[in-house]
Amino acid sequence: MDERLNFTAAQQQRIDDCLNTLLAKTRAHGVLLADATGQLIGKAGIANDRKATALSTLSAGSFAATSEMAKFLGRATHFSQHFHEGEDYGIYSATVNPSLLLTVTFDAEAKLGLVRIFTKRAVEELERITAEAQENQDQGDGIDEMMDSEFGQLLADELDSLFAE
Amino acid sequence: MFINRRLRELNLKIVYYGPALSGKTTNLVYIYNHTRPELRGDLISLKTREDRTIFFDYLQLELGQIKGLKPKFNLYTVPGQVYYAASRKLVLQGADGVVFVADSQTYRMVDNVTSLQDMRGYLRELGIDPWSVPLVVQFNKRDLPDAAGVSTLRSLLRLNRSIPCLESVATEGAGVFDTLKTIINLVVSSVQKNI
Repeated sequence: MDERLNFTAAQQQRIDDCLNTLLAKTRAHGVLLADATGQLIGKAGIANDRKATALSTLSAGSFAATSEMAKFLGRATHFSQHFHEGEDYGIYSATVNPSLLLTVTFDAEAKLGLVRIFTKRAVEELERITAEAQENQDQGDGIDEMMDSEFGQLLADELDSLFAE
Repeated sequence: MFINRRLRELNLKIVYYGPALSGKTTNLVYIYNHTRPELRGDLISLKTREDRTIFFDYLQLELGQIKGLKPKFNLYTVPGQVYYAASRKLVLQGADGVVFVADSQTYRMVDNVTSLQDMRGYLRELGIDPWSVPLVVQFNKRDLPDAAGVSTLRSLLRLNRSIPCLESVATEGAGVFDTLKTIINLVVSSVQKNI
């Protein structure tokens, strides 16, 4: 399997705090942190979990597509920032580390310059947290141990009851 | 896989792969239409005007807490058409498990074999061992008169006995949830082994 980040609950809290700060400073609509495959790691301003997950999936897809475009153009490096400008709203994304993607959605109330500046600061903080997470070993929170054979059986039972054909 | 330890959520990615028009999107549409709304998100489809998948379809399923953990399954399809090869590889990135949807019709055998070989090649390029990633093969379109026998399909696709193969008629939903349950159980067993 490919390399995956494993944040402790405390690191996850710092991520959420960082995203909330970015949201407040920029007066953005929403802030999302996802990995390159679109898995949502953290969010701020978007209350609906499913909407946030869908947005992070699309954002990662868009980022992956442009990275491939760079490759086809003979460029070894991906784009580190993306900006999509609509009539009265925008989406700004920046890479973190570069395996993560930080996305800010905003409307006319926010200023692109401020979004860029505060996103850069947030990226620095998130890079510090992910660097620490890469050294995480045993989380000591018992979650890994929860996924035992009993978990597998309970999940299978749940699936049987939910998805009866 | 991503575990949000603060929210105690387990996120897993499952990709439906296969040749063009084998029924990958049909699987997701059936799951979407026959799952309770509180368990699923929107079905997102990046498709052409002709209704063909251009990048991916995406559906999130969310179960209630199990032993204090909330499992979330992110289901993706790849675009099957030959010229979307780059997109297929991108969607496979980070896959925790794959459902290979084969078209059972005899005249589609070469497409099935080529698609399976390509998939293994892309997984290798992504640093994922194609022989260890949880894989379920779904023989779809079993209702069509030209459908090859299961043993023929297994042998042509060179599928060893350890790979679960299920028959389906995705347009009617037959075999769709069984396939989903099988891949989820395989992925979770694989996660347990790797922890």
